[in-house]
Amino acid sequence: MGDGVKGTVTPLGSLFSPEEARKAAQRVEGAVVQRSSELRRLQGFVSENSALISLVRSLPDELSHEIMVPFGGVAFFPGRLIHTNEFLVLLGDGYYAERTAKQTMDILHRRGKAMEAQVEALKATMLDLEAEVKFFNSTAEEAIEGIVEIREEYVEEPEKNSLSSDNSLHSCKTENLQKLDEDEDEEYARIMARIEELERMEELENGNTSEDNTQENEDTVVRDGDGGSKAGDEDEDEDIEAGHSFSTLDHKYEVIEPKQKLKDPLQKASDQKVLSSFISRQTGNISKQQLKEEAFSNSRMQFPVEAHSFSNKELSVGKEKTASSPFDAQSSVSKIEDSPHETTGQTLNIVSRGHKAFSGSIVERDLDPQPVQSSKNTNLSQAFTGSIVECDIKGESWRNGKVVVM
Amino acid sequence: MLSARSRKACTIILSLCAIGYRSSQVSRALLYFIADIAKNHQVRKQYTIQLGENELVLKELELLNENSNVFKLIGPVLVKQDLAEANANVRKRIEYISAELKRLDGTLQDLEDKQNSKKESVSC
Repeated sequence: MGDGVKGTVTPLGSLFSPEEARKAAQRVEGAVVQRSSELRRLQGFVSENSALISLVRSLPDELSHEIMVPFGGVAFFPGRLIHTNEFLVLLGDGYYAERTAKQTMDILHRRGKAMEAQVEALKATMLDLEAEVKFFNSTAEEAIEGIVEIREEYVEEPEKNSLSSDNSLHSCKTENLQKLDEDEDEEYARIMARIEELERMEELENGNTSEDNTQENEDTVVRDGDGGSKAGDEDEDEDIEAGHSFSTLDHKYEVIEPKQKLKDPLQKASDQKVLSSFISRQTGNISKQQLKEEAFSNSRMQFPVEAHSFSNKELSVGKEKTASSPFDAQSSVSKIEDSPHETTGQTLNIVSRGHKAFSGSIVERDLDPQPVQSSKNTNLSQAFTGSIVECDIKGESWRNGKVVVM
Repeated sequence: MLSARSRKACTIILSLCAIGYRSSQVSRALLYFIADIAKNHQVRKQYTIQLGENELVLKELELLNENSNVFKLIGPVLVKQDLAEANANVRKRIEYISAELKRLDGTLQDLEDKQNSKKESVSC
């Protein structure tokens, strides 16, 4: 929705007039009715066939049956049914074959199967037709409502404007995106509060050996790599609601898990990363501005916001070029530098262990994924496209050890 | 009196007249085309059903033992038939019907081409 983007607005009513759509729907409905009567006929045949099978099965039980034999059109006389195992079966087209009861049953079975195949085929065509009817009706309704088709050119503008142009790409989703933003803001605030709670809790817990943690993390990594759906984790439950509004649930899960497992002194730093990555992941479409404020306030080490908002792969392309990236990168770099030495030391440590510490949340699409991915767990790459932080330009500075990669 | 097919052709023509076709030279020819095509469709449907039925019969006949009795209903009479003979007859019938269908397809194509060319000449 950048200014000056050319676009066309065409009301759907002009493309498909509602009356025509309704007429088409009626025509197709007529075909559906026809097919349904045919279907009823076939189903009648099927039931007749099964009744016949049961009769044929029961006849040879007796040597002879006492019956009332029809005589002419309106008369019966008592008689006996003999040779109860011999049947003259109509094969079709005037041909009869003499068969036993068992063989007759086989023939009838085969006939029944063929008919059922016909019934299935007919049902399938009916479903298609009904789908057509629905489509026509919905088009007619949309045309009446006045829904318009908006087409805008995609203009590749660098940096700051790329976000908006990205949005214009999905022009039909812009309204949804804005609504998402509002919803996500609230969820985001909720999530932040919860994350801080959890962090405090984890800090209170005794720090286990880092190996344990890394082990756990590796496990989570592996699990994540499997495309994990971890419905069991309680942490994920509340995030699930948040997750609904976000593009990928998988990403969200992966983020949460490492956070849980980490009990390190590294934890905090890593948590920050997880946090930021989590935030970024969650926020997806949320404007970067908001992310920046909150993310920076909470973490010592900040990754550029863009890095995280890659929940949408499509958006990631644009985001890589976001204007704020240089700004963010610098600010984040400065933040890192500003942080106390311990932190830096920690970051370094993290870097060395970071690969194991994080199960992978962050992963972002990188224009230059190669160097990053080598350090990553391959399992991660399944779930995530890229690796470390975005901004190829800045990528090097990140990799130098300040940025935690994951 | 009228066969079902010709009756159908007439109904089509009548309905077209109801829509407002004037009985001029050209449009009458068009009407005949439409009627012919409809007839063709009908016959083709009939043949297709028969073909399906005969194929089923052939399948069942193949499953029969050598000494089984096969009868053919000719009018009100059930006539005993030889299994081999019945097989051969059914196969020949299948071939005949397939040939008929092909011929009808060709005719249908001709009719459609002529109809289209007539339409173009009318619109021009």
